[in-house]
Amino acid sequence: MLALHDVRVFYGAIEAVKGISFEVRQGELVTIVGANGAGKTTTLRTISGIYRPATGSITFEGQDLTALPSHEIVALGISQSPEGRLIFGSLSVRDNLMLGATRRADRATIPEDLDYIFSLFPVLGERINQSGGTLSGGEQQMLAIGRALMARPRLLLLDEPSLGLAPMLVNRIFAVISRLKETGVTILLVEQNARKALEVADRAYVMETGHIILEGDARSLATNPEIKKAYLGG
Amino acid sequence: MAAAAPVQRPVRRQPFARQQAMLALAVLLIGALLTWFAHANLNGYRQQLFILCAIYAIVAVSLALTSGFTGVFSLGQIGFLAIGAYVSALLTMPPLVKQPIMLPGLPEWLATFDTTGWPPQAALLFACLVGGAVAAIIGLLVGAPLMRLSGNYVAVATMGFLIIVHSVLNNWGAVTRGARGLSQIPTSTNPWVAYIWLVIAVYVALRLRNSPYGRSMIASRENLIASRGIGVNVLRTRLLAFVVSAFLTGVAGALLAHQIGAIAPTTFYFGTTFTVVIMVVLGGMGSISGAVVGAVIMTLTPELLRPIEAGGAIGPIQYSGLYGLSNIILAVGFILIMIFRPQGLFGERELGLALFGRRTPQQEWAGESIAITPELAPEIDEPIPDPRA
Repeated sequence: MLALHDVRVFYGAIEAVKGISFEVRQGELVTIVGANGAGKTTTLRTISGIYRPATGSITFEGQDLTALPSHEIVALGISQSPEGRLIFGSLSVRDNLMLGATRRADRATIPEDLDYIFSLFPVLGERINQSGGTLSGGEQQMLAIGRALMARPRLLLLDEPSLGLAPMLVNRIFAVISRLKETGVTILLVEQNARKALEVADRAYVMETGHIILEGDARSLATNPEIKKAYLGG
Repeated sequence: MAAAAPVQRPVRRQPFARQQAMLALAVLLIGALLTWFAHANLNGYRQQLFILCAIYAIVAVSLALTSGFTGVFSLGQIGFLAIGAYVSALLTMPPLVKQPIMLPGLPEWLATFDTTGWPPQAALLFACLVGGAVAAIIGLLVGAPLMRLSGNYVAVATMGFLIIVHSVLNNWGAVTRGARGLSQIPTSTNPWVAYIWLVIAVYVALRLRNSPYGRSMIASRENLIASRGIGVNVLRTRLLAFVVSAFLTGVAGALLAHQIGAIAPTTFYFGTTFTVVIMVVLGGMGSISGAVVGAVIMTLTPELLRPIEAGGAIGPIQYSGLYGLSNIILAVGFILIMIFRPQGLFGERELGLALFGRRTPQQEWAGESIAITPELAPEIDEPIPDPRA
């Protein structure tokens, strides 16, 4: 479904992503784990067309994404819940969600999808007229995921959905991610919380300083002694 | 997506909407009454002040549209005011003063274009529409490259546009008469025309803000990365705001030219630019009614303060002839407002909601996050280093 081949991304002279290749197949939940500064967020933003790769190719269902503007990439079916949530603080919860539907062609089904998102995250339904900036961190994360879902993505990019959340909320968010996968959405999940990510994922890639250093199915990586030592706390 | 458990639909606040409509009607009526009063009773000088308030309110509203909503801080707005003024003036000036001896650079059709036989208001309407349209087209051409920029870069780049317009006006003597400017423009702008255009400008801005486009504008102001990640077309959104605001400012330029009857390049430069910027910042970036109030304050206060320059007494202290005092008082006022109310008088609120003491979701967050250069997000093509990437 999504394939990256030898993608390099630079910030000015600094090479943040140093030639990575990986793929995400239809229906899979793939995770990229790794420490701060490994290049995970850069990779996701490059897929979304927010940054441009210096070399390499990114294809989605056979179509090259590297020259497409970000709004057309969303129209193809890839939407993102960004790191740090980045919700629109001065807009209402409803407006935040509606912005996620900006590129939708089938506008008639928007109310149905709003209901669906409120069933995933009932608290958002309760706060629909509240401004995004007044939500708690966990609620904002739910809103960011809901906003991305409003695009009806076939590939959902989740960047650090557990960042800065209390353990109970982390469990909530991961439960929703598993449920989304069951509905057939393909998901690419970037996480520092490797333990949780490997629990829900089918396959995983491990990134370190701009390279992919390991890959495999999530279960075997979770029991890999090196991974255990470096990312799972022994 | 999958069917979901029934969720309680949020109740729409109908009575609130009705209150809003009533208030809008009341404001319209009060405005109309003031206009009628200005038209019928005020002497020439005060009537001119009223018209100036309305014209600058149009400019401030259009600047709020582009700078306040999309966060693209434009310092080139007055360039569009100049374009509207000059284009409209060249249309309605009598052919006698457009002869080749006076303006050799005019194409013949324009030099002989004669609206003197038209009803004055029809000629003015035509001049406003054409002036606005030309400003909008130039806005589209200028905006297409410039709206890719963000933050400080766009402020400097739009200022470049203003400098270019000013230089053309000053040096293209065959069409603009250079620094001498154009005169003998029919003075057909009256309080009613100015008021009606202001109502149109406010209506357009409010409608745009509450449309999906308005939502996209605010989203792209608040966060570029999030906006792009969910498919907001940032360039198109900004361009739309820029072009609409260029049109409205062009119309204001036409009204201005037909108020004074004479225009010169000096009117359309940094002085006016910063006055209008202060109007918008004073009223609250992102507030349409704030822009109107800011424009009225900035137009009237210098006139109201003028008498104190002549000398007088504050309690026991006598003084005489302190020229410049009104400007100093005004400037101290700005400083105090920016210290104690940095979000401006209205923040992002609109008049009606503030009056009723009710807050919409948009307002809860108003103010603090809106600075002159609200965007710290990276450029479109060139990512900045992110330590957490």
